[in-house]
Order: sequence, then C-alpha cells, then structure tokens
Amino acid sequence: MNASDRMLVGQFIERDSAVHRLDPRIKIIGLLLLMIVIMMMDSRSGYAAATVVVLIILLLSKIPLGFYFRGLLPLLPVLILTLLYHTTLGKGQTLLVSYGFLHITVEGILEGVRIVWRILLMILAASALTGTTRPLVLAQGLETLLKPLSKLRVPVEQFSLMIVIAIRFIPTILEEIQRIRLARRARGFEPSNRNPFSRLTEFIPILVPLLVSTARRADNLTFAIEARAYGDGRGRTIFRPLRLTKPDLAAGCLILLSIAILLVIDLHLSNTRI
Amino acid sequence: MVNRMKKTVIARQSGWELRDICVELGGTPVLRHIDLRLEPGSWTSLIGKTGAGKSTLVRLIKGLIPEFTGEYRLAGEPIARDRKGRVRVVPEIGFVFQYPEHQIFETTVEKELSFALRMRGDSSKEIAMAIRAILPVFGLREEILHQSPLLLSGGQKRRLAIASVLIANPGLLILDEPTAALDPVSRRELLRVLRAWQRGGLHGERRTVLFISHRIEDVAEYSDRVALLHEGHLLAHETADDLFLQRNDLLIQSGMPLPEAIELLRLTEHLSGRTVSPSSCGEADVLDQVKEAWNARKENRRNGR
Repeated sequence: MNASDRMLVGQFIERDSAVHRLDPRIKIIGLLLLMIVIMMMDSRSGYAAATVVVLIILLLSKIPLGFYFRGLLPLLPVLILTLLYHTTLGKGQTLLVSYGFLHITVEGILEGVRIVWRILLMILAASALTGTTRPLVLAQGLETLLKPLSKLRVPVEQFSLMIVIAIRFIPTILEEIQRIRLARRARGFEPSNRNPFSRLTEFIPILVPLLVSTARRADNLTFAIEARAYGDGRGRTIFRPLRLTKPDLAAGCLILLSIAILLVIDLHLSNTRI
Repeated sequence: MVNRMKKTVIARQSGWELRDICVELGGTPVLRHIDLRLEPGSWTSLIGKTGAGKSTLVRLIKGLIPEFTGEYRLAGEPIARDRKGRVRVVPEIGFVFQYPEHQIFETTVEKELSFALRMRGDSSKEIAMAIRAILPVFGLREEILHQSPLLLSGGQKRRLAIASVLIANPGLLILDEPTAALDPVSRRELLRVLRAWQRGGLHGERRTVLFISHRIEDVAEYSDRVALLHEGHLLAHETADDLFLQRNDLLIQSGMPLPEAIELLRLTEHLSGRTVSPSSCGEADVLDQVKEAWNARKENRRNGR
C-alpha cells in the first residue's frame, strides 16, 4: 500500500451519482452550512439526526462506505488523543476515578464522545465533498464563490491558481519522496519497519532534498507560467463555465430543508440535552 | 560484516543468473520467461524500445521488485526471500538510476560520496581513502568536498552521483541510461571513465556492468555482450559482434536502429552483391557506389522520407 491509497482529503473517486453531478458551489455551501449546524448541535436527537443526514449523503455518493472509514484511520491517533484529553481532564460532578491530576467524570466522558463524534461527522461530510468533486472543479467552484471578494482587491484568481497547483503537485511530490527513499535504499540504507519512531526519523533526511527539488520545480513552473503570459489571472475565461441547472437548485433546496429540519430537531428536543 | 564481504566476493566469481523470470505490474505482463546469465567481468548492454521492460529487468536484478515468478540465483544460490516470499534489495549491486543527479540527497559532497560506505560500516579512515581515490577519476576537485551538491554544475552533479555509487566498489554495476541528456563530449568522457573502472582501473579487478542505453553506437562500441528485449521477451543475448553482424535481423524486427557502421557495411554488401571484407572496401568502383548511395540515403533521411 502506498501513501496515496491512504489519503483522504483531496482524493476523488469516479462514480456516476447525483452527488457527483451536483454543482460544486451548491456542494460547498451545503457543506459549510452542515458544518455550522453540527458545530451548534446541542442535543442527543440533534446528533442522531445529523448522523442520519451525513450517512444519507455518503450512501447517495455511491462510493463504498469502506473507503470513507479507511480514510479515517490516519486520523485515529488525533481522535483518540482528543477523547483522552476530555475524559481524563474534564470537569464535572459525577466523579468516577480520581488519581493525581486525572479526574475521570461521567460529564467528561460524554463531552469527549460528543466532540469526537462531531469531528467524525464533519470529516465524513468533507470527504463526501472531495470524494465526489474533481479537484479542479472544486477549485473552480471556490473561485466563483469568492469572486465578489475581488471587488475588495482580494486576489481571488491567484488564490484559486494556487489551490489548483497545490492539488496538481501532490502526486508529483509523493513520487519525489519515493525516488529519494529508493536512492537511499539502493545505497545500502535499511529502513526499519517495526519501530514507528524510527520510521518517522527516516523522513527527516528526506525533507531537505525534497524541499530543494520542490523549490526548483516551483521556480521552473513560475518561468513556464510567465512564458505563457499568464499574468495575474484576472479576466480569464473558463472553458467549461459552471451553470446552475434546475436539478441543482432543487438539490440546493433539499439541502436547505434538511438543515432546517436538523435545527428544528435540535432546538425542540433540547430537553434531552447531553 | 565479514559475512557480507565474503558474499560479495563469491557473487563476483559466479555471476548473476535469471531463470524463467516473469513479472507482472498492475496486471500486465512486463517480463516474460527471461533467462539471462551475466558473465562476471563483462560489460553487457541491455537494449530495446521504450516499454520493452529494460528498467523493470534491472530493478529486478537489484532486488527492487519484491514479487516475481522464476528463479534468481545470486552466487549460485537462490536469492534470499523474507517470510512473505518477498525479495530484499541486494546491497552488493550498485545501481545508477535514470537522471542520477536527481538522486543526490545529502547536504555536502563528502556525505553524499560516503553514504554507502557509512551504511556498510566502514571506518572513517577507509572512507577518507576511498574518497581521495575516486575524486580524480571523476574529475572532481577536493575543494568541493564540503560544499553543498546543489552548487555544482549539471555535469558535476551527475559525475558525483555516479561516483557515490561506484565508491562502494560493487561487484555488479547497473547503469540505467547514465548518458541521457549529456553533451557528446561529457558522454564520451563518462563512458571512458566507466570502462576504465570496469576493466579494473580503480580497484584492480574486472567488474561486471549492465548498461541500458538508447544510443546504439555506444552499445556497439563498449559492450562485450548485448541483450535485446522486445515486449518483455529476451530476443537475443549475444556478443556484440554476433548480434550486429550476424543477427541484425533481430534488431530490425524489434524496431531498433542499426549502428551506422553496420548500415554502411550492409549497404556496401547490397551494392556490390557480395560479402564485403574490409580489404575489398577499398576497391574504387565499390567505394564510389557506396559513397553515392550513402549520401542519397542521408539526403532522404534529412528530408524526412
């Protein structure tokens, strides 16, 4: 398994689903709203409803659920740390165990679960966006959404070009890492597979040549962009302009509706507040 | 340490042997039933069109392709595999990748040169001696030892990268197009250094070289033996003379160009209607005809016909 198999954010999976066909702008706004609502969630039924909504989105995308959950694996340490932090250092009345500065309380455990659950839902929703939208289309959507900002002299076009280039160069940089590792192994370096710490330190000597070659590449790219008279990107036209169709608008309404339902469920059943 | 040294010596004496090797990458067969034995002390060139499997074959020999079917014997013994049946990198083989200057990863020239030796556990005295010995061979000055390799010129970088593989004194040296994108003078110079090394110039013992090149003239000039790959099959493994003089139909079949000298010879034979020996080439009538035909052919090629 190479690094790209494990990558979650930015990985597009080709499928033919309604979520894939949806206009990227609707998807971005929808995700943003959904994330805000999840952040505001306060009740158990609210969490349940949000979980159902996220699951429905994942199922609609026709991407195997296993892919999404495998993508969570690299984040597992972060999630576990968050959980531990809240369970052991949490405040609350119902004390279960106390040892030194560690206080494990029922409230603390609930708080930890709540926060981890929240993060999980948001990551899953975000990976539904990146999994169903080509990176370039995503960047195009962002650019159109941010367009009004260019009135305020925010360099939106350059910003979007930056994103596009960053996405484009992820595989190239992974390849570069692979090449340097291979060169080291070919000259007698034995990578140790067991110890995760030494696996980490193995990457440090790779970083310097990687930075150098990336800087060199960026330099060349700058020349190439200049040589084609790209300029600052202002006033460029788009080969395939985004167009909002009726199904897009309908889907947008559906998303708004379900978010409203989420809010209602959360607020009206607040008596079951966790 | 001693054990590994001993193994290197044995490998030098008995060579590298592949039997019925097949490799699939991503479901497509890349190498099919390869039988190849590298004679110790010989210079073997590996030729074939792009995608013929040359790079895969040399990577397999270095142990960079963990899974394949068939038998790979090193020093007469099957190559070591781990519990999962995967092959490990063979440390006794030196490997120069395509565009070697991109494989430089250390912060100073000295560290880059000594990397393989440090990994092997040589003493600092041995390392210093080895560095002092190899620098003049590659036309590198001692002043640059503490510089960053990034400050070197393109040609110097390439020589440094190849020198840091050669310094470990490998029994077999694999070169994957080491002269690509070099100017003609640097190319000749590099090949000259490599041949001198192969004939025992630096370490006093003949070395085995496996060389990939797209320049058929270089192959004809430097090789003892030539292996020809075509769509994953090993079409020929002959001495250079045999392949270029007797079996050049195989080269034509696999879409490879003939060396110009051989083409000239073929043309001469064709025009004079008889087998040409170097002495009969001097006969005036044949010579004039050949000159004329050769110029016409060059003209045709220039006009893209």
